[in-house]
Amino acid sequence: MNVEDRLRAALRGTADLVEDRPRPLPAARRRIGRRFVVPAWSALAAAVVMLTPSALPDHPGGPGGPDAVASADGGIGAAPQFFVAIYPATEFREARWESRRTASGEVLGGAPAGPGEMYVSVTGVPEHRAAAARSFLLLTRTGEGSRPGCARYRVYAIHLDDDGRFLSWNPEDVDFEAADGAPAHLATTAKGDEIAYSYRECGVPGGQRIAHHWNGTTTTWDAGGSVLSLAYTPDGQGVVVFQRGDDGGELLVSRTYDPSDTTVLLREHAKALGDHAGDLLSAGLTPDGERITAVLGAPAGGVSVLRVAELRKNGDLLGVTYREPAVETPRDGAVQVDQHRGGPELLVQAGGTILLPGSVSKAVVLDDPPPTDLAW
Amino acid sequence: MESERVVRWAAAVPERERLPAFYREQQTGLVRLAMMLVGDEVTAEDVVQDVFVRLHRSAPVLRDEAKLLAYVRAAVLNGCRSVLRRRRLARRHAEWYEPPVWSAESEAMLGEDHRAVMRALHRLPRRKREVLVLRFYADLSDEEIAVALRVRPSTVRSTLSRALSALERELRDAP
Repeated sequence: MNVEDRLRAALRGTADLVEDRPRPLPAARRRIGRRFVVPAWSALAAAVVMLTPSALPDHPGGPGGPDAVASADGGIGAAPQFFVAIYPATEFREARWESRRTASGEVLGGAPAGPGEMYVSVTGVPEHRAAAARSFLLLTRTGEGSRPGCARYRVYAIHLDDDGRFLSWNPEDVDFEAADGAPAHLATTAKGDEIAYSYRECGVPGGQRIAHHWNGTTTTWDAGGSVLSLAYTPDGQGVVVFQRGDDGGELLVSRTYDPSDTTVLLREHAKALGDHAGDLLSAGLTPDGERITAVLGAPAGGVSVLRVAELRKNGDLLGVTYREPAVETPRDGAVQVDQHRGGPELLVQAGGTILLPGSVSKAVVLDDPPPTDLAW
Repeated sequence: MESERVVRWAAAVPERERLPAFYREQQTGLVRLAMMLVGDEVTAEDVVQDVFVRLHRSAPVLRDEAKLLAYVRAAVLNGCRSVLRRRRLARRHAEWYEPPVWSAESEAMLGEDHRAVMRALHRLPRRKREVLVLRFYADLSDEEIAVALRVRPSTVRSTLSRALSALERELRDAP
């Protein structure tokens, strides 16, 4: 008997020791290797945190250090019951969007993109449409463009029920050609009737541009940096841009009726943030438009300590929340942050971890490539 | 394109409803596969069940059952590697765990030649061991093994050839 036959026979004999019988799935996750020692560093690395600036006091942070804020009940506060995340294609899966339960990360629904398609950015429509409980807009790469290096992009609306399940969809009146593979971001107003997006012009060297689309008319302007997030001001009159330029990250507002009318709200090296070392990873306005929320990251070994600072629009620091240890440092350093209109909770995604609102040590750690974007 | 999208999105997900049937069909084969690598049935069951519990929570959008099986198989292999890593640590801390079925201490009824082959197999490096199990137990093609191990098919072919030679040496040199 040659080695192959001996091996085949031995494997078959070993397999036969396992009886073919029903093995009911346990209701809760079973711990593997519970007989084994878990090293201290491993437990430390597995602990993940949740960050929220909620209920920050309306006074500057004291010298004793930042205030750590989290609800004790593990609830999600006023946050929506589910969020939508978009994922790139892998060898096992097509590119797709998924709706996930906010409190647990459980997948509630989703759909794959078509051949050659990918989802680039997602944003929530705060006010409901028709029978749908929630609507989201997806900026979708639909195929190759008319010239090499270009691609077609289109915005689609998806409508989900109370349980996060897919109900219907429709194309929006935003269809354009831009550079293929360039990062792009999407934003919409409360009613979803105005849409802003960032893109890089096709075949034209230079930086990114921002477009504001309303009632069949599109206005575009130079971003002046690399756009990392977009949002509308609560009154819908301005586009809030967080971008990275030569001087680091900055948060600014451009008026939609006159994009040259721009106000810088926060710069990376703002004096108010000086005591809280770290890179400015993301920033935006609170739902009332009165405050600035800034997410800072400080590398510490293989993880980043994330902090959320809240400032007045005049730059005064109101307070900082944080927990340690934090999250595994994303390979590209990108952190996605979304804030819903109904409350102060933040949805934060860093690398393969989505931090869930409500309590400390609550997160979804993903096995697959992390989502490209997410939205409430 | 737009009409295709209607069908695609309407038929979508979550596939959680299909998972129980898929689990019932595949669980014994997957437990057997895990057993080849971790050595005892209880741990092998734990590995497979853990994969399915995670799958239930995060049902992937996969309408092609072959892709789903490939995905699950890769996840089981990952689970087995985690168990073996933890065992190495446990040995350092003199922790007890179930002896593998091919060990002399095991009460499992495995013939002596089968024990010798399995012991030799488990003296090989992880990659060689996995390739041999996937080929000679699971009967997977080079391409299917490449997907499960996330390597190129050419790497599978070269590893397979070297692994068989190494196994032969181990069997010859075994006391």
